[in-house]
Amino acid sequence: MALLRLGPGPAPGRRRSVSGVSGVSGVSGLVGRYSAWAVGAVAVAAMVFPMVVSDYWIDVAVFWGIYVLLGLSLNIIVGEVGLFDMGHMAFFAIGSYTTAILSGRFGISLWLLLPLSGIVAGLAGYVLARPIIHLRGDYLLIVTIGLNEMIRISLLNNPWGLTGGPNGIIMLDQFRIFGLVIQKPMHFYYLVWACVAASMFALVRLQRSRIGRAWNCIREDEVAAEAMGIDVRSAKLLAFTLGAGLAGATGTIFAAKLVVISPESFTFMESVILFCIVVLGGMGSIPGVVLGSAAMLVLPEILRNFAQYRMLFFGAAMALMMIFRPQGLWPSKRWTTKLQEGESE
Amino acid sequence: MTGAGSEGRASGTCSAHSAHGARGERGADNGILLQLRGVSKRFGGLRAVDAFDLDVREGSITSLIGPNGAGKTTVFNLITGIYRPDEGRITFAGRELVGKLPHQVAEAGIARTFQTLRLFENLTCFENVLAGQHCRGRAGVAASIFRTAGQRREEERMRSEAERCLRQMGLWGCRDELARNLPYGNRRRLEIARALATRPRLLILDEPAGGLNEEETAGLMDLIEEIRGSGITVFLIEHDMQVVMGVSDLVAVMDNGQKISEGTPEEVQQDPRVVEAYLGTEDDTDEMEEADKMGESNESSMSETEQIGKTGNAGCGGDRDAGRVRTDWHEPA
Repeated sequence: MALLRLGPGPAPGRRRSVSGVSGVSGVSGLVGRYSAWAVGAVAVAAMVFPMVVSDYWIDVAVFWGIYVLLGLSLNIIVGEVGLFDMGHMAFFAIGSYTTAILSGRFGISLWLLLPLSGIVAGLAGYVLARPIIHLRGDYLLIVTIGLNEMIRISLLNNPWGLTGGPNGIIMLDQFRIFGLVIQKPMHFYYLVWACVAASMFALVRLQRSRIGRAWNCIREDEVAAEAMGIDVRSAKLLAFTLGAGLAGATGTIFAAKLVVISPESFTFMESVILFCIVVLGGMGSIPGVVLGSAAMLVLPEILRNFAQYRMLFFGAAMALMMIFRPQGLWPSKRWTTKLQEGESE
Repeated sequence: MTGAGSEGRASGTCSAHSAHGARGERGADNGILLQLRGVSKRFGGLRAVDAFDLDVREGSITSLIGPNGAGKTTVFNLITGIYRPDEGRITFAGRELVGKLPHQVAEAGIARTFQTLRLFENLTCFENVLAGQHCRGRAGVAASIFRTAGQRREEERMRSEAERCLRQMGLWGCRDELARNLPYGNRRRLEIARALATRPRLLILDEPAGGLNEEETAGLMDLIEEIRGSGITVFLIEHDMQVVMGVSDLVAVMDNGQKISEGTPEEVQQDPRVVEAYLGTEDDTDEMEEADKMGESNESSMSETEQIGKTGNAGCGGDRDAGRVRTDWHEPA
């Protein structure tokens, strides 16, 4: 009977995931082939979704949104530039803790902390990546795993009494808009998905710019990219900094949502899940991230009813994916001049 | 924007290289654009390049030839900043190049192609060529996200420049194809188009005729002449003697990391040291063949390379003159 109850739950979620993507493309004005009314319908569906499902599924959608944001941030590094970063949770942790500490000690508004945490995490990303950015492939991967653990263990050790050790920090403040405190799952739902929409808009534009193209060139062939006048080192550092920054800003929302921030949220396993989101969705594909995080987060929730077989199903799905669709759920499409002609009309 | 803006440039030959603004003004000292003086590079005990001198005159086509392993590609890599010389000076338009990073060398005005093609395989041809324009743009992250007026102008300029280069190479018809889907001959052309898109003063070609058939090779020779005609100095490494002797103003011959001869194609061919270098001492058949090609016999005896070239020949509308471009590709009217 649990199955029956769940019937309507996941369905709207899934529908939204696919069409939410076309919505974003439409918003950025880059893909002409999606008709405007379809985009509108999707937007409406996304708006209505939390009004028709239980709080439980809204919460699932909130965490889905948080993982989409994280996936988007990691996609800059892994998908666009091809740098293997399997310690991305470190920057998420830095953002979350920055928010929790600054909010708790100085009472700074969360709206201010959102960009501030992003900047702090971005700076950390820059400083940490600088000495290791020249490493390639699996070498970089291993160092980033190390970074993740270093940050997590540092947080556990409660440096200067700032992080609260294994117990973490309790957030007292919340986002407020004109006296409305963002506390209910529905409020968070709108907040998170508005951030997702804004990030996607920015990232699609970045992807289709000189900078995004340079990133892709580096992913394809570093030596040729350099010979064509692309400053490979700076471009990689830029990607790392932006990716870390976006993850850090997401940390603010996460801290507000979770209320208690502790090191156990930022384990290596979470970094692996993030990495899987990007690879599963399709490297460098922004819609792919939405699908990938749905697969990694929403699917296990749906499969919860199968109790102990859940992970088995999940593992099998992953294995089948890698065999039959190694390019990802929604492989990134290259920009073409035909698309561009559609855009200018 | 690209489709609409530039019909006038559609003609294959495309002499519209007009835009090489800076070239006229900052002329090099006594007409020498690139100068190498006493350049050496060692790999462990091996002297790959040994006290190498070379002058490349502005507006010339200069070739560097030599047997396999003579150090030609190392010289290219030293110029383009991939390696750093152990000794010696390299100046380009009067400015020191040693110590510059590859992207700074490209920015200074030296573009190159690779012996083994290094295209951005999973990007479209158009994007490949746009990459060459990267160093001629300035737009940052914020400008790209907010699409400022400056960014849009820059983007438009980059695209029309990329279009010009693609059309010049006869590749406009396959602009939306992924580079990896192109036939071999067109891949070579695409690499040249990409290099030209950086708006270089000096174009370095590393064995551009490798793997091309005779017809394509003839086309390449015309192309090299045409590039020079547009005011770009060309410096090439080539094994195909038909190309080297056909287009070069000056030929430098390398063996064992040293320059053993230099002069016009005729002078070099008569130099006994060159013949010796190519013949070798023992009965090495490979080198014999090389020496055969050195002679006047132009019925170039390419065997397997020709095959590659032939298969690669049938492909998307790679013909130089726009009139012959296949029509099933979407050409803006």
